[in-house]
Amino acid sequence: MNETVIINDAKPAVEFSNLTKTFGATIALDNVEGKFHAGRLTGIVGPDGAGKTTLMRILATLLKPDNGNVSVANFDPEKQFRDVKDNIGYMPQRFGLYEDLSVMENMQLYAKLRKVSPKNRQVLFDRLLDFTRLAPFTARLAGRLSGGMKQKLGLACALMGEPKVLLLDEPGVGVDPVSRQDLWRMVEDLTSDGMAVVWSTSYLDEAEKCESVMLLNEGKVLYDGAPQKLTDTLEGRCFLINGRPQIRRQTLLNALKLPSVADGVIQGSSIRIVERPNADLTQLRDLVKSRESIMIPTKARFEDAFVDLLGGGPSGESQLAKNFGDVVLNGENAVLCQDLTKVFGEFTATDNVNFEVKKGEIFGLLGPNGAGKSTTFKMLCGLLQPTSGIAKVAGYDLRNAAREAKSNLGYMAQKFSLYSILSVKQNLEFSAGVYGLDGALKRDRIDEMIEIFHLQKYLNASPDSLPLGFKQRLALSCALMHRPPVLFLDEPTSGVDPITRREFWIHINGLVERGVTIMVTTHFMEEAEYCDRVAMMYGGKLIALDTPDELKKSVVTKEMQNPTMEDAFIELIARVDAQNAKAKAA
Amino acid sequence: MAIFSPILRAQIVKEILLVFRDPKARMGLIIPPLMQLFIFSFAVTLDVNNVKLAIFNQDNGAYSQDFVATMSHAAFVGEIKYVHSQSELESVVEHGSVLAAINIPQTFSNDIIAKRHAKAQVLIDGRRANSGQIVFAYIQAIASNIGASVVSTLPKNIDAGWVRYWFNPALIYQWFVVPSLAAILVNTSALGISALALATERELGTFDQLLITPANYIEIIIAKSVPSLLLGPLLALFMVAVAIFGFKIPFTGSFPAMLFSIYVHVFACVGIGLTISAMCDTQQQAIMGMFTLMVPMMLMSGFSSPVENMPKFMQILAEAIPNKHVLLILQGTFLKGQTFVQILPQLIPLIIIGFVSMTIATIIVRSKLR
Repeated sequence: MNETVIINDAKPAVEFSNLTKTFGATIALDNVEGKFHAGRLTGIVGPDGAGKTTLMRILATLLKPDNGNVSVANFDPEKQFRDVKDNIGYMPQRFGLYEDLSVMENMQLYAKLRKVSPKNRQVLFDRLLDFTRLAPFTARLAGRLSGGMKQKLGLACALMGEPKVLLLDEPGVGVDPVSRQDLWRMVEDLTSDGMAVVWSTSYLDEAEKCESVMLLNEGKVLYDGAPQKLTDTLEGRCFLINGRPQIRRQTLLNALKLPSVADGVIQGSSIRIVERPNADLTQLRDLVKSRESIMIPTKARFEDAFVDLLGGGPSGESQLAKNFGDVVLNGENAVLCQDLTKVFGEFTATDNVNFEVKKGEIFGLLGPNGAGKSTTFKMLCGLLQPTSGIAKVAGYDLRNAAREAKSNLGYMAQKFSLYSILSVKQNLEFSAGVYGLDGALKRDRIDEMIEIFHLQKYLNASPDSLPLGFKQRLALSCALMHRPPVLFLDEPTSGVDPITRREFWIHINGLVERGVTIMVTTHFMEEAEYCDRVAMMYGGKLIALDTPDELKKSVVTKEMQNPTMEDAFIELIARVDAQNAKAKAA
Repeated sequence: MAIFSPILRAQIVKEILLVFRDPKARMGLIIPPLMQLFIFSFAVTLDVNNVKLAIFNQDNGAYSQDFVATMSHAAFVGEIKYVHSQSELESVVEHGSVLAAINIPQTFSNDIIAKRHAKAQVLIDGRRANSGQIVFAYIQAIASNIGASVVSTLPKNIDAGWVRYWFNPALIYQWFVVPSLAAILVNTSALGISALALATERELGTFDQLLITPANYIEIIIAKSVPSLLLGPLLALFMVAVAIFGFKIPFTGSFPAMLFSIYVHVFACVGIGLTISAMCDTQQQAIMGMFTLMVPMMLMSGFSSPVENMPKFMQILAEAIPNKHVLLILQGTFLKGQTFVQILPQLIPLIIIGFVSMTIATIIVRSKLR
């Protein structure tokens, strides 16, 4: 896609300028302008709170801008909103599917709403069902579809009026890579038919696939154009450091302190470094040499470019990890699953899963929606009782020593489960207390978190009113005040901007150095690269368990010489599907 | 508070803050009690006025004349229709043109003079059983003043004690209602707070987070009960104070016995509320569940219509309603001068309801984790 240069002299399908929208004191969009062309996939990219949804809603006539000119399919949303509505398809983050209606009934409803004439309906339905591969499921209730299938049905319903402009607001959120690939395929078909498709996302690897990208941050446009062009500016500034994977986190920490390094992350067993423009690399080379490693140039990614555009990633040591103290663990394994099985009625959600996680390891649990990874996760946190098998955390069996096991684990989810009615301070006090901290120790730990994460000025605010980054810090504080030897992270950074994510992982990497064991689930393949080992689940079973590099290596073919983590994910699942199909045929 | 483990203490503090920091919840705690106080004690009245009666007087004696005259001057009577046959009497009741019809037999005056048992028959419109019963009580009182008695066709089983309290209109009505409001208020607030307690956390996603912590089910249930146990008795005491000092209703029984009963009542209501909450996934479901139970609980409690008039199986069902028992305790301790021992027949079922509902709530919370 990136090679295709599209020259489009026609009037753009969507055009806006001087666009401003404020909500109270928050500036959601600040003097934004842009053009989205027909027959092209445009990505609106940025972290949560960047203004993506606001822009989408303005284009969909659902919000009135404070200021600015907008034209959608040559109509003015303010004066000709009916014409605009007839010419757009809009899929919000939570598409309005009626969960108690079947797939077909949902489609019929939207066909009526979009005034598709009854005689055309059948043809259109057949085409959409074929297109979305939902034909076998027409009788199923929408509420019973998987996350990916729901998104496809939503897309089918949004396409009902044969729109000229299709607005998709974060269609990839909570959707596993396999379903996401399906969505991409469909959208590519649509653009080749001449539709203008706008896809908003906070995943930067998705942005890389768009023909054109509008990069938003804090309501401002940072970049507008082909993603490759931005990535090209980093040519020759990206390196991989290979050598001693055991100490790669320390090496990264040291590298980030160097003034010549703009950004650095763990990538499998390597370290990915972006140097500052025209920087003196002597210090970095010395460091690499002292760690018995080598530095090889590598291709830049869109995310590298984005972080560079924002002035580079964060650096520094984790004060949190420094204060944490070394972890003492009861027994050898931090987490242990032995023949772990969970059956719900007829359905086996987790099927005989075995793995052990060593102290100080970052262990990733990946898999498509419904693969059984959250059921497994829940059993390890004590939220579900296993049907059979053993689940142990920090040496304690969750079945007969649940309290001890639970006291030894910390849990943090991106859907930050904080009490919005309580203030920040009260949330900290509750978390400390409920993990058994008391008196002076409790006060010390709370004060420590306030100091490390600079929460002082937010103490009396509601967690809801906090900027995303601070919300995440608070959630992490709440999970760590009792200094658990094992930390569970449930999709910890989805929707978070790359800078905040790096900050978060600096703390996590620091904790790992102290001997904390990390269990992480994620749909975000970038994050999977930070893991020491990754377990892939599919159909309730463990289908692969290895280091990210080995997993990638295992799917190398002649066509795919340099697979990404996402490629590995898709390929591993496809292999299982093929095997099952074969077994069925035989 | 130091006697609790830090784990339980943290939860209790959190629960109290969750209730009192939420402006919506705060309003919900203040407005309904005041509304109930005003509506029940001033607007709604159970007194019956402007009643239409029919009289078929077959006796011309002095006593029957006196009986009819007293009736026609009674405050509760609006209009008297004189009829001339038993069939006419029955038809006016049947058509609903009168609430009650009195058949005075020929021997009425003679029986009184002869000190025999003088009886008049009262036909009551069963479709308006409640007012009918009150009117019957009025008529009965008038009859007994002249040394006669009345028998009704409907409804049966009139409890003499109950009738006694109802006589003397205007004043007694509030004597009955205002103390009862203490129980009703506790019921609404405790049920409201606890029905939402678990469902809200589940809807907002904090419940899973709570279950990951070392806190166990028993602690969660205890912590969730605390706000109601603090607030319920306060509301009840407010109403009791209004009754004693505002309405000058004499409190004749044992105050500690009443206070203890109030706590047990809150406990039972919290158990029912938490059971609802444990079964619901969203606040909406919890609110629906709460109203589904609250309305029949109010109607069957004996607050607005006597339990004795209900069909037998409903009476048995009413035994499971905390309001039914605590209303009798409140009336007993306020008006009948009952002591701790005398309220035991009501207190024991109340305690049983509390323990059973709390156990069910705990079992459901646990079973949700399987």
